Amino acid sequence: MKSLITKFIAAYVIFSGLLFGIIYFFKFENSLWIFALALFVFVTAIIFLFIIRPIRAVLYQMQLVLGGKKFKKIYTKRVDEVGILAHFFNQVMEGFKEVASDIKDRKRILDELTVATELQKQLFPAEIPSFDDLNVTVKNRPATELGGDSYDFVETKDRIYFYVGDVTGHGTTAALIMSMVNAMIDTFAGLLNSAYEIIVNTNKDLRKHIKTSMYMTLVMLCWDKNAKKMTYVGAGHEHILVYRKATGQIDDIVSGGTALGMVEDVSATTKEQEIVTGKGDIVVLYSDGITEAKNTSGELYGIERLKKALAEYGSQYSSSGVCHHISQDLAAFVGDESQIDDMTLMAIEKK
Amino acid sequence: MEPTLKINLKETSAGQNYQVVEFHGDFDKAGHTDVRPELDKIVKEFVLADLIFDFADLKFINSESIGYLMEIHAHLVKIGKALKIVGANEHVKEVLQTIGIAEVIPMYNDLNSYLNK
Repeated sequence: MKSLITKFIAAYVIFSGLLFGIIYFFKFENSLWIFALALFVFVTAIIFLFIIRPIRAVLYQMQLVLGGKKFKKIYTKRVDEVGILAHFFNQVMEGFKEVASDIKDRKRILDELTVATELQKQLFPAEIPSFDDLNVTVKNRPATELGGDSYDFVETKDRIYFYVGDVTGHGTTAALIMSMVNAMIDTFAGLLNSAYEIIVNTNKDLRKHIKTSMYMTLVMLCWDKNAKKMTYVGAGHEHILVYRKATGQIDDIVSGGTALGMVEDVSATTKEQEIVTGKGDIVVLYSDGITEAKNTSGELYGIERLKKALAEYGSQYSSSGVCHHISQDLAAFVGDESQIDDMTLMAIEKK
Repeated sequence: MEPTLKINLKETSAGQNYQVVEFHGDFDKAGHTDVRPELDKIVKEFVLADLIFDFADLKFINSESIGYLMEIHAHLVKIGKALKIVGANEHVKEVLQTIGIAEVIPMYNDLNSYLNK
């Protein structure tokens, strides 16, 4: 690369030599004055043509940028300082364009995420319905804007279904699967007559729509309003804990079954079984975000702590108090450690 | 930084129709990220009959990692091969059984149990 100064000196030497030659050849009088004037005009012209004009062109574009106006790319083949300045301007502005586009994209994605978060919130029951025989409380806390945990209550003429589910991971994909399963359960609950049938058919449909690495664990309770009987069906979910009011003991029931979406047919591995409940008994459903919550030492909250907390608070409070105090106990255990998974806790108390 | 999870591909002897991959550490989100490229390569290049995941030194597994196991299982089944799990500790075994993995991927107490099946 020839620098501007090198070019300038070369042009100056050539022009001076030429000028000296002309003065010497034609033997001009006052040759020093002519020489000085010609050199001045030449230097000024060179400076204007090769330095001031191109720099002004670059500055003009910069002024447009600073004024928030539309600017143009500077086209030049020069590789000297002015060329570098022009290329630098073009590259910086190209970078700004990319950043501006990223910011726009980010804003659009954030806006869409906000809408999706709102939509997902609307999928959860706006308020907990009141039931003749049961008190129900739920706490749900997603780890990110869009969670993979799900819960709902679906009431039909003869039955009430309660469930807590957990899709692999969290985020958009998990939220979409969760919404899909919610819609399926809602539909099947109105068409079919048992939790078993709902789970088997939901699995069949879900399997067709999700990739092999995705699945959803779920546990569903069914309250038969006429028989006053509670049954449960597991789909590879966490245990069901039952606080027995009469004895203060905790029953730990393995929910069983196979996670939804994992295999085509779960009819053989799915069972509907009864949970005998007495007055004041509290049935607790939860997602693994509760038992797998870690404290700053990396220890898990675990099922044993959950059972201990349920035994302690079950003897003092109703379903809402139990949910509240278990959440407090969990928060105290976790401390400053960040939440890595969605958490859902549902307590159903037999009146 | 020390990886959360490490895998070790054990050498196969002549005539052996299975290959063992040992897992050491936690198969959580970070562990999954640590081993995925290497494990993907092993699965892609797998030519024997059974791929054995030895979980004897695996301390923890989360739902996303189980999803990844399902992905590997599905891939192997599609090409006429199988994934087997051996040596899972009580915690990992309980998690896998709770979700119903045992219905899909055969599990054995140790490698000898698999060999004597």
